[in-house]
Amino acid sequence: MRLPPQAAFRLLPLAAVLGLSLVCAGSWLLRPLLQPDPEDTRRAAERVLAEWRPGDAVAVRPWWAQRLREHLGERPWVLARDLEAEDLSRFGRLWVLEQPGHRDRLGGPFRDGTYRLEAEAEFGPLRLARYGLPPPAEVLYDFRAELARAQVSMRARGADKPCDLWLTDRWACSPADWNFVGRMIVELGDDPREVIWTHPSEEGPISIGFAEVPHGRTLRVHTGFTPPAARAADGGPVTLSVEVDGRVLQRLVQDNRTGYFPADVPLSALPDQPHQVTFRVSAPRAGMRHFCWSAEVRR
Amino acid sequence: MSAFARKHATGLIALGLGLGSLLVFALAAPRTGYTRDEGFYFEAAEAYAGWWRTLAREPGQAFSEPVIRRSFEVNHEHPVLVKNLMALSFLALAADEERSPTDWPAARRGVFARAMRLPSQAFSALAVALTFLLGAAVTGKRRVGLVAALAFALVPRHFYHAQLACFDMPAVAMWLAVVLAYRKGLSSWGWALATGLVWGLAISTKHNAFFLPGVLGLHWLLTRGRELRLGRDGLALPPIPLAFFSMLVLGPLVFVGHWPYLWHDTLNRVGWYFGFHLHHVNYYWEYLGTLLTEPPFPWMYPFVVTALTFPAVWLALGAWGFLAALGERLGRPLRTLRGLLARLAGLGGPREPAAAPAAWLSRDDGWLLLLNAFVPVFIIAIPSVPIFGGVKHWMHAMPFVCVLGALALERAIGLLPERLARRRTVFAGAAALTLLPSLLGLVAIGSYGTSFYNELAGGVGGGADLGMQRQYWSNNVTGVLPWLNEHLPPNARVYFHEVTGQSFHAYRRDGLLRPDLRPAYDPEHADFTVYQYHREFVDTEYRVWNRLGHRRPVYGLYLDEAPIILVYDTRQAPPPSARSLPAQPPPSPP
Repeated sequence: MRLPPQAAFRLLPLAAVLGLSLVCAGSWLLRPLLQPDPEDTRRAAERVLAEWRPGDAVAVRPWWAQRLREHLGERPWVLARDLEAEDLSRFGRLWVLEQPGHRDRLGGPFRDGTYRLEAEAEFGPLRLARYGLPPPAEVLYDFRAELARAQVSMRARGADKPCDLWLTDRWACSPADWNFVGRMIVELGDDPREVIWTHPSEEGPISIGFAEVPHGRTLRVHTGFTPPAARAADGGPVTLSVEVDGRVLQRLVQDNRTGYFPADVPLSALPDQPHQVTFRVSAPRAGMRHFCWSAEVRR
Repeated sequence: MSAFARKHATGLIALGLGLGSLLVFALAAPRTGYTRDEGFYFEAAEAYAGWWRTLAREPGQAFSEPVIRRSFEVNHEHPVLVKNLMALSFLALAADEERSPTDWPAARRGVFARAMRLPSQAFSALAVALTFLLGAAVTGKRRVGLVAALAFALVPRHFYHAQLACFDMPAVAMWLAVVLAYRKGLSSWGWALATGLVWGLAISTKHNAFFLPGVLGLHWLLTRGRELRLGRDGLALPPIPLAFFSMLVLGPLVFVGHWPYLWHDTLNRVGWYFGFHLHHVNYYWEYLGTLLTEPPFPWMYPFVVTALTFPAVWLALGAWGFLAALGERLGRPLRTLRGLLARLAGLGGPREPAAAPAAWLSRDDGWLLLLNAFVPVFIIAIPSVPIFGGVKHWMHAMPFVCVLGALALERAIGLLPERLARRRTVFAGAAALTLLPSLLGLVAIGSYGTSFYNELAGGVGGGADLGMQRQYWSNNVTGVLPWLNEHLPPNARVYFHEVTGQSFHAYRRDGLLRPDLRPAYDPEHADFTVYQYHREFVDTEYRVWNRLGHRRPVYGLYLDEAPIILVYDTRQAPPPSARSLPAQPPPSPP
């Protein structure tokens, strides 16, 4: 049967609706067939474990597809939404497990040759890629890891008051639940970060001192506010001053935005000997200043 | 077909749809977890059941203020129509059940929640039946109503809400009932009076119905506005529907009458009720990668969420039906404007109007559908209105959208050449095909309805990619309960993130959770932590990582590989500090 053009035109709306129905029904029918089986993830994890080396780290694409943590959650992870922009300088190799639909080539340093694709393997619809990164930075001292050895004090009523009660993972400065210096994992920007929580006080700076810190070339510092802090409309800046052997080497001013912002403090001009490093956190207005930082000495 | 069946076919189909829907909702519900709000309503309904017992045994006591307050102070931020029905259902079906069973595996499972959920499931079934009646009434074609009703019920998020002991689907049913009563009331005294009564029940169900007079008033203005006259004799109004007077008088009477808590200190308590909802807290909500925390919220929010959660085919049909009906209603002003512009541009004089195409809907019904399909969504689009809760807050617009969509399908088939096929057969086949993706989506998401995203979004994974709220209300925890029951050591303390104490006890009471398992109220004091992914609560999981020193869950529920519920073994973590740790970075120090 041949339809006149006008009649064919009148078929279009129904044809479009039915065509869309077929496409949508097909998408639901095909979806389970395209999904990886949990066994695929397990096999990929086995491969990673079999070839694991110190300095390796794991990441997934997309960032939220984290079933792999059931198998590799005790290994170093890069839990960042934007892998291309992430600072991977601590790692020598990166394993990336990619879900179907998220296997487009990574850009930035993954494409310009900075990171080299060394190996890849398929596990069902999953792709496991291993990238070789530039030689990793040698971390001589991680201040977060050494926090329990720190000497912490805060200015209160015109005098320095030691925060000398260590509770699990933090130095408590007062009964107030915000007033401590401690290891936390918090969201800075969009990603979880391992940081030292130091909420400033309006009475004066909070000091965190570390003795016998090995000499290195650089002190890498990250600072940031949590998202709730950054949302505070009247939130002021927080200053982190870095003192080495009693000399202020740098004052880092964190303005009111969330994120994980790096800064490098050069140490190479200092004598090659252990140092006393003190971080002082202060703010003119301390309300809602959920300030976090981390630091490490690199060779 | 018998003469009776022929005469009452519409009613019989509505009845069949209602009963069938009720059966399906009731059969599906045992797999659906208990939401946070259900926990509160369970508790309230049990308290109200106490009052009903008192009423039966000592009627004189039941009306005293202290007795009423003792029962009805629980959850007095919502009216009690549905909760009272839950109380009565509980008394009839589950009052004799053990509150704290100790047997495992439980001999009887789900009896408590089945009783509690039955009344609102009946309301959900009523919503399906009323959608059918609405579609059949405004188009004169039962098949349009039938397809609209099925399209509404099969939307996965609707199907999910239809099972719960909550007020959202009852609010949809009552909204529809008021609109249908008002429509009939335009030509019937009896229905006009009934409209007031039904509206009273609607506002006794949920506060959404307080917006109905505005919608119906707008309808009256749009359909009778031309009769407004300002002349020498003053302002001449078109006849005001009797239903409005009935609503004005009967509505408040039913509202106060149904709610014993308002029988004493009425003005203060009504004032508190309105104050609560006018100043409702804004829960955080993830939307397109941003955590929405406070107004102004994006006005596009309800439109985008609808576009990503409504089955794509019915989204297209609904949009087509809406725009076509709107074009039809605005056709005359648009034609007048076009003619005026043409004349101003010197493009010739007025032309003879072409023969008007057959109308989709009558003027009255067209505006009725358009306003009800649009206003509930528009209200949430106002930037100062809280947006948490997803589609449930504008779900009462969706039966009207589905009727418009079914009408669009009918019209698409009406465009076919007569000789192609039998229209009714083609309609049945086409309707089935359009409903198939909804059904498949429903099967795919199972009982995890708050996580559903449609074909445009790309399913749950697509929703995660887009940065949409991955779930809410905590009911997805059922995905890990069997694992917990099988693997946890005796008397383990479990922190169920976001699950209320009431829901936890309901799971144990209903035999879904081992009776020896104990609730912990934070991860620091738990042997196991059951975390559910929420962007606003990621700190809870980070606290677990921080304490454990790693990020390895021992089990999880994943949808499209997106983590929904993760179980952590927190027994190996260092003991909690003597001092309680902040649940999140503290909100307002110092």
